[in-house]
Amino acid sequence: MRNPLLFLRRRRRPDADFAEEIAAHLELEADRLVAEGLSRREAVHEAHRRFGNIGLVQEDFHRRRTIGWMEAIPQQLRRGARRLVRAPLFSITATLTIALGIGATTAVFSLVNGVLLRPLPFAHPDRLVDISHSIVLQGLSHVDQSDATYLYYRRANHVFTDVGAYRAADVNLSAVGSGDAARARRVEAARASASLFGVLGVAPMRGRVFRDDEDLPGAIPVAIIAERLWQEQYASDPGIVGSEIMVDGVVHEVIGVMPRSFAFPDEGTALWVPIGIDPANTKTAAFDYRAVGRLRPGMTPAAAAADLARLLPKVPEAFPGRLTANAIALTHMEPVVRPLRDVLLGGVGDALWVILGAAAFLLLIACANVANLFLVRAEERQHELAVRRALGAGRGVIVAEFFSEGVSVAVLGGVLGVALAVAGIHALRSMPSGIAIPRLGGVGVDGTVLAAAAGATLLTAFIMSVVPALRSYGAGGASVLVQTSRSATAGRSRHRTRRVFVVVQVALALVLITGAGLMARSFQALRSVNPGFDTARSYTFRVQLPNAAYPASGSVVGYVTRALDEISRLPGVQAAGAISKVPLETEARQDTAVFMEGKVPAGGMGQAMPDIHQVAYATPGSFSALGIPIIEGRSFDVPDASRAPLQAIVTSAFARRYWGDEPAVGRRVRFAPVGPWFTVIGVTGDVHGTRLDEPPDETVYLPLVIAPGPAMANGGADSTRWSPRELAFVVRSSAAPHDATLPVERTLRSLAPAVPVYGVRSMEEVVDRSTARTSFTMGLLEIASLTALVIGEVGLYGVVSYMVSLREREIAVRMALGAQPGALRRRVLGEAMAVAVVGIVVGLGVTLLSMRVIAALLFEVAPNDAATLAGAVAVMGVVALAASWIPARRAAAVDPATTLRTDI
Amino acid sequence: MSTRDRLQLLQGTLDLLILRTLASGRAHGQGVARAIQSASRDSILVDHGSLYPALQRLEDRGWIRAEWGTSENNRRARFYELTAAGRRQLTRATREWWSFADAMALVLGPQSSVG
Repeated sequence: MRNPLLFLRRRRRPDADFAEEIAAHLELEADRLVAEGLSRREAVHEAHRRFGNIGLVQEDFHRRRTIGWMEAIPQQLRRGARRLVRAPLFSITATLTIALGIGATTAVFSLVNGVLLRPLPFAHPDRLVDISHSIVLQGLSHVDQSDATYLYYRRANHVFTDVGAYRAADVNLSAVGSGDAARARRVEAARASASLFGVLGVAPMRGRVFRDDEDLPGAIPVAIIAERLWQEQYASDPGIVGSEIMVDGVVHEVIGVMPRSFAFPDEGTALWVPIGIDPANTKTAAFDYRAVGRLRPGMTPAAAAADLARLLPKVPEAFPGRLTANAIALTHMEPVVRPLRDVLLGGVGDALWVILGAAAFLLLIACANVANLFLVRAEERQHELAVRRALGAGRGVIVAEFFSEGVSVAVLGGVLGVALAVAGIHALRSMPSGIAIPRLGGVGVDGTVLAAAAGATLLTAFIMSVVPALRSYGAGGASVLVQTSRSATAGRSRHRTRRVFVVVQVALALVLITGAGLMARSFQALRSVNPGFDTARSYTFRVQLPNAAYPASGSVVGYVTRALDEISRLPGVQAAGAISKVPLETEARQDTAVFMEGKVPAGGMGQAMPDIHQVAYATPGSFSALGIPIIEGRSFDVPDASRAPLQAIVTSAFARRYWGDEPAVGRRVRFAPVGPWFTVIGVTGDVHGTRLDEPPDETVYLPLVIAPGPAMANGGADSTRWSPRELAFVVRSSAAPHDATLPVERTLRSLAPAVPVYGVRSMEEVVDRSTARTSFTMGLLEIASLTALVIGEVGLYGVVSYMVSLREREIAVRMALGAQPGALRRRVLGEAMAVAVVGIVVGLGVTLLSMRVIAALLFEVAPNDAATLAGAVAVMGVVALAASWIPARRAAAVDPATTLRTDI
Repeated sequence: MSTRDRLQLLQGTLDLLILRTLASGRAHGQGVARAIQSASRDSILVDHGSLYPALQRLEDRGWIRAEWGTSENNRRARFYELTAAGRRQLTRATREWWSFADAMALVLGPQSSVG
């Protein structure tokens, strides 16, 4: 055995030196022959003859000297490419298959990379944590920060370098002035504490960030804008810092511009205004803010949570208010510290990893398919290769040939695949309704993605080439010559390998089909949930009435009344209303404590914590505009700004929870332990207003005319996140969609030019958006499984046809001996289906093991749902049958006379 | 004597023959071939085409070393000589060869019977 490391010790002897030695040998030999009596010419000729093939010896020397194949890579690749060009059908099929696999994997990986793996664009993002609280209350399990907890944590903690607070709050933005300049647009915005920018560690590209004293309400209004807004709205005006803009009707001075990378808290946040927290006047139980902390080096989230748990009971001492030590204890309130990345990404990871898994399966299927094509090709070349082996071609050379072909196909497929991926991502980003995936803007093909694609390509090349190469390597020359001569059929082991590849394809395709089927059934189940409102011909229009322009609650009511009056008179409008929270929209949700008359909460009066429920404000017409039925009692009285009726309408689910089968109408609720009672005058049907896959809402609707006034100030309004100034008009119209929305928008604009109308959409769109992630996952899995089916079908078809063509002789003999065509057809079909059945059985096993991972994405369908599995098996079976049918028929059509004659 | 009558070298024997030849002194490739041929009284014809790769192989293993020099008739040639390791290898390989040959003889029986 040669020591494989010997070449490292070798002195490098140039090829020329070896050639010179041979030349010297020939001269010496000729000299000797001359001495023996030959003429010079004869002697030289004889010396050459005795030496044999000089070129071969020199080439052999060269190959042993250099690590042959490494130097030969470009040459091998060229040869491989040339061979592939000569077999265009094979090459195109193989390349496209690989391109599909790589394209799918690359596109999905770029999603995973851009959304999940890419670090957050902040300094040392791993030290950033979200700080919130867990809480045990009926209807509430989690709260963020109140001004008091934020201020106290920031002041007293020992674990953070600093803590910042923020709150997403979109604004109306316009230029300072009147007329056209006053025309406002709706801009995604956030309130932010001065400390937030330092905590995140991002510096402004122009100007400065907020100062601590600007956190206080009543400070001179300032604003920071995003680079994108600066470019789009202000044409990158170099004088932007120091200029004035109108935010919610108030003049603000622009003090800074944040770089594009600072997309916080949302991708589209374009403007930041100071948070406006007053330490001297806190609302301690209104958990309206979110907080981000920067952990000190070496500090863990768990240690931070422990430190905060020590501080929380002391908050009431520092900031007396409704958040009492008793309330903290009774509700088991505890600080929760989680990595910021987890909080920003939400649950999107589940879906993305599942889709990436599907893409990887698709790539594997493509690999198995192309490996099979290569195997067939290798078999066709077996004879040629055996001859070449017999003539002295090294095994290494032949293995290198297979790899060069594999690499050529894979690289070409990889390049095409990346192009496909780029196109796919582009399509994904331009999807109109959005796919409810955060950080989508940063998704693209970058270095990491390219590296992954290159890795996948090489792996693909390896998988595709290794089996044919190994087979050719293992096979001895003579045995191959015998085996592939026409008088024999191809070896059994070769068929086995091909069958294994087909089994892999069928099995993986079955997994993908099942996954897609489960998602489709979930989606179907989701969409067949009765949302509790009628989506057809119902439209929403959002507005926010700024304090500056509508200082008194009366003026808000006046605006709403006039707007509804004018909208009602538009042609086609059947009902119109205004409501603070549109079902299935996430904006403007408000949860508040609700006390029921006559119900003493468990734990005793004064001791007990109230239940928390969603409260929404609505005008009488909004129920019929949304198509929410009033199943008991009636809707609100016509609003009268001067005399707010103390009325409430509750959802069925709410009524069931507190009053069971007893009538709800006439019961009374209030929103503070003391204060006015609101009488229930109506009960709506069940409304799935939070998410379709969650139980119906337990909501209390109050008349919209109740603006935060003296009656509520010492009561529920304390814990409200909602402002009655942000609301949605809901309109039911018989007109065509376009004709329905445009006049309403025009009416609202003419009524208040400075108030932008946004979020104009039909309720159907609202439902679509709420199920976007499920439909997105389902769509991608469906694409993947369809592709898998096509590739799998082609693969099975190819293998069965090839087996038939190899056995044509055997079939011909059988027919000559009297076998019936029908029996032969059944036989071929049976053999093909046997392979498919093995694939299906294996696939079922893999499915049952792997479907657990998508359980989190499913709705009302079990991961091992029998009907879905049966359906997937049926689809796979039909496809396999179709793929085997044509070759089976061809087998039956073999003409024994012709086939046997050509064999002589 | 035709080529057909000459002995075909068993695998691995060429290396041993080269080492043995070089044990008597340094020589160039053509010289080695000639020496083997004449020592075997022309029974063994060394295939020139495999001689040089064999020399290279032995050189790679450090059993022989080479340098360019001038032949007796003033031709430039690459001369080989045995290294210490090569001498040890020769001893070892010779011993192996004889034990192999003895074993073969035992199985085949006395030469006369082949006759």
